[in-house]
Amino acid sequence: MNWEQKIEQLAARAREERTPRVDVTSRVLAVLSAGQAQPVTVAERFWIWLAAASAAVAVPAAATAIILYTKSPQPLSEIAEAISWAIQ
Amino acid sequence: MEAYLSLSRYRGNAPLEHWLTRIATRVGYRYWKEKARRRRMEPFDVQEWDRATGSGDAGTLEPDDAAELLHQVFEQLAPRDRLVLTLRYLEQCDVAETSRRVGWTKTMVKVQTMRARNRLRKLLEQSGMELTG
Repeated sequence: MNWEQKIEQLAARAREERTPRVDVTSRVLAVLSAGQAQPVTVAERFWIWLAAASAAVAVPAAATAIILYTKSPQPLSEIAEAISWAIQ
Repeated sequence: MEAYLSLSRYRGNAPLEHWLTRIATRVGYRYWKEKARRRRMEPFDVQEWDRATGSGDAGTLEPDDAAELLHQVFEQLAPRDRLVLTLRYLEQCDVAETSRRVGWTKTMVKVQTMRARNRLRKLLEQSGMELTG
């Protein structure tokens, strides 16, 4: 019997090995829940920037609108006038 | 876990089992490379080898002991050699299956197997083992 046959015989015996049953569920879940951040794709990055830009414009616009609305004595009629003026 | 985290990249071109075995092979190989880098090898017991194989009947060995001995021998090799020999001898993969699992060409697998076998033979010779039984 040469060395390779010995290795093959050992391997054949080793294949009969029964691996111990180890429950790693809790440890895996712990690692997953700790959270590995997924990399952001180019498309996702575009939508993130678009949302940020929209928010940057919308927040000051809303603030200005509220200030103007509260300052005006008759806000609804002024808005209606502004709209009708714009339509004309 | 590696498979779970890579699940979004699974395209469905190959069966899920093939995809999983490739990941498992890659993870195991990475582990061996890391272990080899840290040089945390188990000492190789030559007497154990002679005792197990000297009588020409390694089949009487307990499966756990046979596996441990085999892994100790393979661990002395470079991770690349260990990978191909483990797949060929222990997992009984043919060239095509080995090629699929490790992502090498079939020619590369054949060359790597031949080199790994030669290195294993030299290793056994250098350890002073009785190779002819």
